[in-house]
Amino acid sequence: MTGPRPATVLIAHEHALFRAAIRAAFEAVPDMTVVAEAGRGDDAVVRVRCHRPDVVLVSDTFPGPPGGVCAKLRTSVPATKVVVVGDAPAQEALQAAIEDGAAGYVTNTMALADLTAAVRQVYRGHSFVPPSMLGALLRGLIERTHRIDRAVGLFARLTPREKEVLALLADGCDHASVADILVISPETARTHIQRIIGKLGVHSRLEAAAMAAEHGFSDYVPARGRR
Amino acid sequence: MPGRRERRRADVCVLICSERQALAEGLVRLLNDASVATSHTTPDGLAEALRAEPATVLLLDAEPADETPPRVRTARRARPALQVLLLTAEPTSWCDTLVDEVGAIGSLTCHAGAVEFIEAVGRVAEGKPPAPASASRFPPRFSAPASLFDQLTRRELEVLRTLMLGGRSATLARRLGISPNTLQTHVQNIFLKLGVGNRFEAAAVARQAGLRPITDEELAEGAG
Repeated sequence: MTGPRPATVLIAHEHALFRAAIRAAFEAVPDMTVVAEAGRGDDAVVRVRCHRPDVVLVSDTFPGPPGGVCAKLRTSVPATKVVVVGDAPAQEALQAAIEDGAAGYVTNTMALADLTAAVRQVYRGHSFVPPSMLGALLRGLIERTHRIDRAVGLFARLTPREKEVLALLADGCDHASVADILVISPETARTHIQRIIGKLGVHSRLEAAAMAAEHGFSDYVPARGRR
Repeated sequence: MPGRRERRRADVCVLICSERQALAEGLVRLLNDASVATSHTTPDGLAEALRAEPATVLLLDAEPADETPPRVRTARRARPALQVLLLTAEPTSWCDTLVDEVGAIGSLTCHAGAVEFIEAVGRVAEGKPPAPASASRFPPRFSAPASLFDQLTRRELEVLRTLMLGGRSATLARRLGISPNTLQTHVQNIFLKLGVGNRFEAAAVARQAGLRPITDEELAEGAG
């Protein structure tokens, strides 16, 4: 081998000037080729599908849910590695990007040489996160895991009947409809709900419902009716 | 031909000032490739850079907007004859206000392509405005009859007038007190109703129809 072939890169960003600037920079290094650009999120997915670049540089401010484009790219073109680019370092955007399967996160405030090096690193199969942001990222991810573990532990304390009630709450039922669906008296429903609130250590029915919804609780409790 | 171009631009020296270093460096490369002597600096190093470089044109990133006037003042103190060109996220009437406020020669949006960018800098170097501006950029095909705006709901009208302020989705959503997704839904509905394709055109249509960007007081009222 005389050397690896250049990495093919697609630049997906809403600002044409950013695309032009980064393209000029990448074209100037021998080991990178910009194969296409995209100015909108949906466009980016289509173009990545058709060009199959090694790496796609995706803006974190594309309209739509945060990281939406990234997640879509990961599922539709798994071989292409995603590097999310933000205007300024944002811990939330970084965590969202990593959770959506991005292999790298860079910001516009980095030096161009560092940005280029990050893309190169991702192309070679490594990950890239700005070192100054790594600590907070890990803490964020660990905290999230703890939150989930804690919630799962709390859910385990519920009786089967209380789990049914909580699943209904997560679906948006109030105590009257819980009573109707489970064919119990409203007072019994209320008692169940009070116990759930106590066991989960939350302050309201809404908070219990939100906690259940956040962890996809209703998916695990199919019961909707007696027993 | 290239010789003539270089002669014409020999005395031009552009300084790009932005927090967004990667963008600035890429733009330096674009201009250097077009034979325009260019360098870049961060806002913190602006005064220093102006003392060191013989810059005649300053391309100043106008994000965040409230930092822009003091930065221009700093630049003017170091070099009074400097031509200032503002780089903005979206083309809105708010840009014109900022241009007037700081006495810049004009503004250019991040939606400009490479050619448009290089030409704009070239024009500014000759002391001309960067573009045949909004007047010709949004020809009559965008002129919307007033009734178009009747189709908008009260909230959509607020969102449209907020769009005219410019800035990023997240910022605008925060100002309106809604999620970026909700903002996006409003924006899509506005696009459909006005028959435009992007925020650019929406803001231009609104401006031509005489709509004003929303004020903080109005936003506060809406929230209350």
